[in-house]
Order: sequence, then structure tokens, then C-alpha cells
Amino acid sequence: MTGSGRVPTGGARPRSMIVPLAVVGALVVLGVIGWVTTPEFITYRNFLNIIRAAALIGIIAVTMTLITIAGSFFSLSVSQTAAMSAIGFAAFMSWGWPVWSAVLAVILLASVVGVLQGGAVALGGNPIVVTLAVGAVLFGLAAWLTDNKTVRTGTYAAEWIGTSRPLGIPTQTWAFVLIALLTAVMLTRTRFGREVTLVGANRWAAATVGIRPGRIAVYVFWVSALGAALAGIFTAAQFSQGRLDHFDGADIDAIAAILVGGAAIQGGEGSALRTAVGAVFIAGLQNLMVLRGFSYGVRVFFVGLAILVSVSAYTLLRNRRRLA
Amino acid sequence: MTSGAPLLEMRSISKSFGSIRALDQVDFEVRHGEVMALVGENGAGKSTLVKILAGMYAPDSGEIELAGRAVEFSGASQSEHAGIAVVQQELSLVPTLSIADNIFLGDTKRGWNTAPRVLALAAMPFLAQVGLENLDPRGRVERLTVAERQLIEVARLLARDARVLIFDEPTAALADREIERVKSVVQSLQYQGRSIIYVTHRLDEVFDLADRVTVFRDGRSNPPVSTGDITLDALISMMLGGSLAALFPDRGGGRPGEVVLEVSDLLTDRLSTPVSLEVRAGEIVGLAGQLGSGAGDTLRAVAGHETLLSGSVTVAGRAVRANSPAAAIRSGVGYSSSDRKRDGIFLQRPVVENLTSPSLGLVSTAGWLSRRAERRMSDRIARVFTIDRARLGSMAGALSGGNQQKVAVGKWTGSRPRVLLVDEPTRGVDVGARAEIYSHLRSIAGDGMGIVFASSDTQEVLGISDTVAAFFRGAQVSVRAREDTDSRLLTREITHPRTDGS
Repeated sequence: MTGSGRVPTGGARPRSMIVPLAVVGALVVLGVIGWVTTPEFITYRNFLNIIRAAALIGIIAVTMTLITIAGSFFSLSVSQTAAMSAIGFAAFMSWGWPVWSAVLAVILLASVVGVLQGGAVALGGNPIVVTLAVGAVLFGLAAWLTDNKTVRTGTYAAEWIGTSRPLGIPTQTWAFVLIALLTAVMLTRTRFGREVTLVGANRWAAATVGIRPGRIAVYVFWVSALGAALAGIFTAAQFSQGRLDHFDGADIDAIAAILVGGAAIQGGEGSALRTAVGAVFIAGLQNLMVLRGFSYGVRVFFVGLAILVSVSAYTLLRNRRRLA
Repeated sequence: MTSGAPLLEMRSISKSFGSIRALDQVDFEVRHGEVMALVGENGAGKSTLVKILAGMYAPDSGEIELAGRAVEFSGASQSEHAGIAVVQQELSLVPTLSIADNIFLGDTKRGWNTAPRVLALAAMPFLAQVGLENLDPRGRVERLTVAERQLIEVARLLARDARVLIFDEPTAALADREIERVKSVVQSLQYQGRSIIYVTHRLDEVFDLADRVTVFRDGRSNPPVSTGDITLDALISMMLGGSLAALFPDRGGGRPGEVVLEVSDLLTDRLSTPVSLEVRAGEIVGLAGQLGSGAGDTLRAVAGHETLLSGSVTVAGRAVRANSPAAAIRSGVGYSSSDRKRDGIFLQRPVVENLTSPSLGLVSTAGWLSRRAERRMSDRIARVFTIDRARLGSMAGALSGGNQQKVAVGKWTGSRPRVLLVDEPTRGVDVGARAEIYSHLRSIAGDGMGIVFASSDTQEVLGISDTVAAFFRGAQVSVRAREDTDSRLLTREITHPRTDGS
């Protein structure tokens, strides 16, 4: 990358390193605090726990990052989509379907949910309102159809998806790393990723250069729904059951991961890899707080605090950069 | 009615922005109960003067006297207390509040009783003064027409007891019937003994309304003239003066090629009569017209940003699907809007990404972006448009206005469209960058592109066009070869076409 014909990038490069450094820095600080206060935090066993937990939140958050970068804020229906997928997968397995067709059916189901939401946003719906409503519809539907009961797969045919550990690392984690890398490559190296970024940066300017913001909205909500479906399948396979409350709080954790990762809430800026690090941070924070015996309320408090601190810090950073 | 002593007098006012002298020793005055028109080309210094009176800018030197006493405005509220008020071009009403609420918005003298009934009652006399007594003061502002909102704005200023009212191009965005309404309010305000400064581009209004007129040119003022003592032609001459030849490139001797763009009987709801145009490869067509004239709207419609009521657009012999920017781009039409910040540029993205944004298909293979192709394309555009290549990686928002405009226009040359449409090519751009943009437009036309631009600056239109079309209030007034028109004729056509002058 040091070819002589390379165009110099001016002062932009060093400054653009601030956000990634801040994300990694937050993770390091968390690690040090954990290491000093809690001996069992930095152990191989606990490390596996963290990355397994981080994987599910991470898959949901990384795929939702596209929505944020495209300027549609967040999806508030991912936890319901994931729960619906887990229940659907468990139900399909319990009906004796082969694993591949159960997976396919769940993906189709989630695609419908995602494309419908994207379509509603493309037609001018507010993303927050649309996904909040869809989330309620999905939750209600799932509660109604399952009668609020746990749906068991009744078979261990799919358990390997959720519990096996190729090379000592859980499948969820492999999937998380793979999805984070794929999404990062898609965002930075493909035409689609560029179009997502440009729509988020300025949807009118994007429309003027021939990019269709509505189509981008459909795609990003679709991708996010697929991510949630995958998280649902992993969970249903791991526990051989699907339950409504599997993903309680996943929305806020995923949003926290995106914001800790420094994506711009108004769109046009963000990174899948930073969101991935943000997911590890949130999972690590949750894990540390559980090890310290913090109650549920205290844990929610600290996750909320992490969002507040990161949003304020990045806003200040960006404003200073703009003035500079 | 207009007794001798001036109510407001400004002497030797100067104001510079960096190296640009916006106002140079300007004198200006308004008498009691007088309508004083203020006219001049774009960039002549009219809006700078208005902003000084509004307390938004402090003059570098010079003095202001109000009713014989020296005054100094160092903020909007101070000039308001002194009784000077500007009817904003960009309306400052709150659409979701009631009419009465808006009239008394921010009025600190009103006390605590803001019950809707009380405010409505208090608002009635002010509404009557602007001819809106038939409106319910409790109705919401968002239901009103643009002209009615403007009059509410005036009522608001009357409620503050403004003695000098400044109308800054009040009719620019209005239809004919609404213009009459605003005009009659101006006249009735004058009868009440208020003084009015009326800034306008429309010279017919000057003769209809004003007692005297002051002409600004290149930041300097002419002494005021009584409108009874001057002809339209003389006024136009005062506005234009000598022109800057060096600003514009040579037109070159190239013969225009085949027809690349044909617009026939194009009609949108912003246009009052159908528009037809023909543009050849290598040709620059200038659409001259003030805001609301239809010149910019024609470009928007051709680019697929407006709904066509009738008519068709053909590029290089093939019909373009209407109402779709993406379809227009695929047919080879590039469009740079007049509102750069809104839809012309990605301020928070790097310059490279801006430059390749309309041509992503050309810098990618099977959906994969090639950084090399991106760099090559943006490098080429930067060289043609003299954009600093060291800054290709910086955010577009960090560039100066002139360089941002070069990015906004230049990005279209990446995909080599057949036709480039540019609305206001040099808005908010300093003189140096203007000259560069003109020469770039000429050179890309020389490469065989057809260029159509819309502008309210007649010098600009005459300076770089091969063909000139004049627009006035939604209608195409004329299409002439550059040789067959001059600044006098063109200025008349875009300000006052229906007189029998020459």
C-alpha cells in the first residue's frame, strides 16, 4: 500500500482513527477493571462464555448496523424476530422436518418480516414506529400460537448447531466472526455497501445520483431480520426448544453494541467491525456484572450508562472534528 | 406623503468578508412614509445591507441614524427595539402553532395571559392591517398559503410596532394573484405612515410600488432616484454597468454536433406554459430567470425530479422514462441542483466517494468496488475541475464553497453523460472559483457534452451560453442565439417581458 502513485489522503486518515481507538480502548479498560476486581473474569472458561454470549448479540448488532448506517436508526423488532425464529425452528423440528428445511423455512419467515418492514420504511414510515409495531405484532402472534408455552424440538438432531465447538470455539462464535467480516467487506468493498452509506449520509443527494433509498431500506431491514433469525436458530438448537423470552433485552444490547461501536445515529458512518467489538464489550460488561453478583436492575443501569457515555463522547468528538 | 427628512439614514457603510468587499462606502436612506426600492444584480450587496439593518452583521465602518439619532445594532433584538423589522425570505413562522400564537411569538411585553381567546382578540387589529381579517386567529399556520404566511409575518412585525419594514424579495416564491395581495398590503402600510424598504429582482414592482429606487452594483450605491424620473431602460443600465469579460472563457469556434437533448412541450405544475428546448453536443444553453421563473424547475423536470403533466424528454434520440431520477441518469442525464447542501453533495463523506457516487457502476465489477478505478476516476475529475488532489481523502464538508461546487458539478463528468444540467452553477461561490467553473463547463462541452444551466444572473448566462432562453413566472419567454440578445434585452425579458419598450 505504499505505491508512489498513491493519492495522499490529507489530514483525514489520522483523525478517522479516533473512533476505532476509542472502541478498542473501552474494551481494554473493561478488561483491566475485570482483571483487577474479579479473578475469575480473565479465565479461558469465562472467555468462552463471553464470546458465546457476544456472538448472539453480535450477529444481531452487526446486521442491524446496516440499518443504522443507512440512516434508518435501529430496528426495535429484532428480539421478537429472533424469538419467533427460535419458536418456529423448534416447531418445525418437532414436526419431524429435516434440519435443512427447518432452517430454510425460518429464513423465509424472517425474510417476509424483514422485507415488509423495509417496505413500510421505504414508503415513508418512521423506522422506530414501524419496527416497534411489527415487534408487538410478532410477539403477540407468537404468544397466541404457542399459548405462552415453551416449544420443544423433541429431537437432538439440530443440537450440534448450537453446542459443537470446531477447533474449541463455539459455532455461534464462528458464525459471528464470519458475519462480522462479511458485513465489513460488504460495507467497504461492494457497491451495495457504498450505496447504503451514501443513502445514510444524505438520502436526497443519493436519490439525485440515481441510488434508490427505498430499495436500500428494504435490503437493510431484510439483512437485519436474517441476522435475528440466525440468532434464533442457534438458540433453539442449543437448548432444543424455543421460548418467547429467549431474547429479552436483546434489542437494547444490540443497540448498545452499535452505539459503543461509534456508528453515527443519523447514518452515513459506522463499521461492522467496530459494532462487533462493541458487542464483545457489552457481553463482557454483562458477564462481569453477573460475576460480581449485580442485580438485574443494576445491570440494565450500567448498559444504559454505557450508551449514554458513548453517544455523548462520540458526539463531542465529531463536533470537534467538524470545527477543526 | 414623503416629507423631506430621512427617517433612516446610512452613510459610508462598508463591510468585507475576508478578501471580498461586499459593501464599499454605501449610502442609503428612507424617508417617513416612503417605499424605497432596492435593486441590483446578485452579489451587488443588497442582502448584506439588509442583514446589517437586521442587526445580523455589524458594519466595518460607517454610521446609521434613525430619526436623527445615531444608532448601533449589535443583535437582532436591538434593531427590533429601534423599530426596524425584516420580513424574512425564509419564513420564520411555526407551522403547528396558531396564527395568533405566531403573531405574538417571542413578544416579551405580552405578559402571562396567553389564553387562546385573549391572544386571538389581541391579534385581530394586526390581521386587519394586512388584509387578513377574514382569518380565524386560532387557526393553524400550516393551513395557510405562502402569501398568507408572509402577511402573517408582516402582522407579527406590526405587533412589535415596526416603523421601518424591510421586504426582502417578498414575491419571489408567489403566484401572480398572491403578489397583488402583498403589493396592496405594502401600499396600505405606506398610507399608515410606515417606511418600507422593498428589495426585489422584479422591476415591474419597482415602478408599481416605490417612490424612489436605489441601485446597488458591485458593492457600491448609486444616489436614490425618483421612480417618476427614470425609465425602465435607464434603470437596467444602472444595474448592469460595465461587465467583467475576463470572468468568462472564450466560446471557442467548435460547431455544435447532433441534438443530444430534446424537450418538447414539457409541463409541470410549476410551469404555466409548456417548455420546448433543443440542445446539441458541445453546446451550452443558459436558461435565465429569477427564482420562481420556471428555469430551474425545467431542469428538475428533465432530470426526473418533478412529475410531468405532459410533454416528453428525448436524449440522443431515445425517450427518457419520466419522473425517475435513476432512469434519467441511465439515459445519460446528469443533474446538479441549486441547493448543494441539500441534495448536491455528501458533506460527511470523503471527496473521492462524492466524485464516484453517480458512476458506481463504472468503478465496480460484479458489485465489487475497485479502489484503483475509484482513485483513477476521481483523480481525472479532480484534474479537470482543479480540485486539490491532496484533499481527495478529506470530507467534502471541509472544502470551501467553491470547491464543494466543483465537486457537486464535476462528479457528473465521471460517467460522461450526454447532457449535464446545472441549476445555479455558481451560487455561494467566490469570483475566482466562478471563473474556474465557467471554463470547466466550457471545456467539458468541448468534449461533446450538451450543457443546460439555469441562472438568475444575466451576466453569467450571457457570458457562457451559446443559446439563451428567458423565463418569467413559469413561462419560457424566448429562445435566442447568444448573438441575438444582449444584457438589456435579457434583463427586460426576465423581469418585465410584457412591455413595449424597444
